[in-house]
Amino acid sequence: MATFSILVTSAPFDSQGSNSALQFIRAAIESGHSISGVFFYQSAITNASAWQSPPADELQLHQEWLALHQAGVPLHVCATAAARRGILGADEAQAKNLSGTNLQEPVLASGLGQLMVLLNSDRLVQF
Amino acid sequence: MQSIAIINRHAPHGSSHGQEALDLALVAGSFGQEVGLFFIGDGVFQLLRQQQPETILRKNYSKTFAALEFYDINTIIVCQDSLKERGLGEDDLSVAVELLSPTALTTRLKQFQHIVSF
Amino acid sequence: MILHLLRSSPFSALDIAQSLALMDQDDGLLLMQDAVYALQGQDQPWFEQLQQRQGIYILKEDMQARGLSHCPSFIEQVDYSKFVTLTLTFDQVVTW
Repeated sequence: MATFSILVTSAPFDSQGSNSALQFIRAAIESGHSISGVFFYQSAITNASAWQSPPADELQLHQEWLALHQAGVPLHVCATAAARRGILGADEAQAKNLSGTNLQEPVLASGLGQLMVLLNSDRLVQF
Repeated sequence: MQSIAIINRHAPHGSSHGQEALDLALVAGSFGQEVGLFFIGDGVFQLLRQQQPETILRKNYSKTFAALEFYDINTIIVCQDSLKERGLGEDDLSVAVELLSPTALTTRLKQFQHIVSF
Repeated sequence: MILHLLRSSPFSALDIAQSLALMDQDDGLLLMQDAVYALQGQDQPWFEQLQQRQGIYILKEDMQARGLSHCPSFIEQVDYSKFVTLTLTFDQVVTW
């Protein structure tokens, strides 16, 4: 059995990339492989937003990621790429005098260094 | 030691691909990873001299290419066909690169454990 | 051995030409997302290049989603489970 790390760089909803990533990860887990982690970078960082609110009859993508986390898949987002695009954890929001936060656990605000740690797996697949 | 090849395939400034690929390269370099930077297709435009993206309110990250060696990134490979197709030569580029044919470039790409593209 | 993941329609992007230019004999190509429209390119120059190669795959789910059903025999149809297996059959994966 192999270990996979998943790098998601395409924007959720705007492109199919996040959906493909979800389906790939589910298939990998079903085949008995393990996922070392998912790392959201570039426009994919909005996957991390807890404020994602699609219409009720559409895929609740953020919830799908949380379900994967429940199944043992660590979720990371590049904190710099996220902050650039308005996705902020509580501490950063407070530092900017902003009320509320759209980046919260179990999604971890990580540095790109975390992606280097994830390279320590058999395959890296980018979506 | 892990190794990572980073393919640049988009032109700079019109999108964020180049800047975030470079951010990743610098972190990978400072984490002691073996890094290969590859420029293919429109990605070769990243390396043009005398870019002035300030005029379009974008960050001038192209200056950073000259500093790559300080991050222990010494493998900078450009697809010679892509360069030629775009009316460019080695003299138009801001840093010293290895110019390779697509076949030779692929051989080098395969020496890296993981490949990402931007 | 590299597995190339092609995501854009070959009718609108040069990604297909770039990935084909970089492919060795033993490399593979998976048509996924909008790249599955490659099936409609019988008269296109890149289609002939695909035809001359081994290791061309297409993601069934992405075909079905787009109303495509006819697939020539030189392209192997795979589902997500086989897609996962393919990424392990090859040494590296690159996404276009």
